[in-house]
Amino acid sequence: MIVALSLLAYAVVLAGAGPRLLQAGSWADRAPRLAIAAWQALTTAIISSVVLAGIALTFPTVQVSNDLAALLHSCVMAIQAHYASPGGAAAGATGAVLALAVLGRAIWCLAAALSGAARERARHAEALDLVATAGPRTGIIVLDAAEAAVYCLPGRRQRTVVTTGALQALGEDQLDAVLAHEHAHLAERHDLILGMARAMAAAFPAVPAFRSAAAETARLIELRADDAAAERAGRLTLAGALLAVASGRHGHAVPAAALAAGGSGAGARIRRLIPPRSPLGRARTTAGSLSLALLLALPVLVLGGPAAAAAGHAVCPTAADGTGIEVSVR
Amino acid sequence: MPRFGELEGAIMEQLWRSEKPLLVREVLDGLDRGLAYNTVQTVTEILYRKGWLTKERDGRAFRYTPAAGREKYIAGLVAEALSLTEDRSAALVGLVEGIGPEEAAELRRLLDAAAGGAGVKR
Repeated sequence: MIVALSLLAYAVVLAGAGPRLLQAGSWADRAPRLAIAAWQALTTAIISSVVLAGIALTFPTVQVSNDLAALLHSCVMAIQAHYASPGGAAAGATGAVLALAVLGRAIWCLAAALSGAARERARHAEALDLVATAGPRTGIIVLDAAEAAVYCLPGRRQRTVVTTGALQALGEDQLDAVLAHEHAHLAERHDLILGMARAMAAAFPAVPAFRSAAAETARLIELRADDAAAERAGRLTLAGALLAVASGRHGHAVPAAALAAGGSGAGARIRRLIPPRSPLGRARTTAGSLSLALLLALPVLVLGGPAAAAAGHAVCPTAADGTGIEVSVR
Repeated sequence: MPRFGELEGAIMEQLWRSEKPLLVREVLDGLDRGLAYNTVQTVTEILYRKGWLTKERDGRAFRYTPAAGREKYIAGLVAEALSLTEDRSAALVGLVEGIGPEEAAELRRLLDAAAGGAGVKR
């Protein structure tokens, strides 16, 4: 019971404080890849804590022993004792429902989102095959439209699409920069990362942390792809290319949300590329990665801790000479 | 699979270029690829079933015509690609959303200043 409650408390604390910690300061913009991983770890840790809490309620902790028969016996005894009391049975049933419901909903929504995206892509790709023409270089196809647009279709038959409007707006090296940006999206499967984040936000709309995760992930994958492209083609070249494509929209108005406060998302990306880049230092990146690992490992440790401690007792040294090498295996 | 898609594209190309509805025989002549009549007929019929073509009876055969102009399909694809920002599945991944003219002018100024007024193309 204590294990289950502490796991649930952990999930609540993460969901409440996690987004604020991740959005504080400007470190995310300097290390977008780490920040993407942090949001993924936060989401995974919240969901797995709740699922593990359910499991902890369902199955009472038992002393782990090396003897399988003894282990099974103590399991059966513990479960019998657990479910003999009405409170224990209710807690067990609640736990099972909680674990199955959360896990089931997460998997269901993820599968629905990924297959939906695949269907949408296949339909789009089929139309592209009929109306697009070969590009000025391999790997890109061209749509004859005045609107400046560049995008890619991820997946097995991946392709990058450029409109003639964008081709006219871009110089040779700017086109390189744009293609490097799209290549980073494709190579790092940003569509899957974003798809997962959006699927969890849709699966559990009552958890604002997942909404923040989806919105921030959408922003951060662009920063990550910008960094990859700037490394290849130069940050000012990329900034010029982004500006050329972003200001080449005729029929489609600027999204209203982008105009709200402090300029548009596109503007923020271009401004970020103008001063020399200052990536997060090695030490802070390592520290960040380690805290993510801890964040993820904690629920498993909380659940597995008592069992591991019990197992430790079973393998304590019992040999007469006290070397501690022999282990008691009955 | 790509070859099949390519043939679909070539047939649509023929029909888009033609001013009047075409018979399969006429499409085949226009393709000039040494393809079998049956192949072209099958693929044309598939395009009809997918909704890309309409057909009308002409004696014992059918005349096919595109359901909509090429520009209309392109506009649809571009609109799909540009509206990929919020609340959609991550089927497509775009480069950048649009910005207004004032912000664009300001960014242009910043960018030119950073590049020392030269070296960066427009």
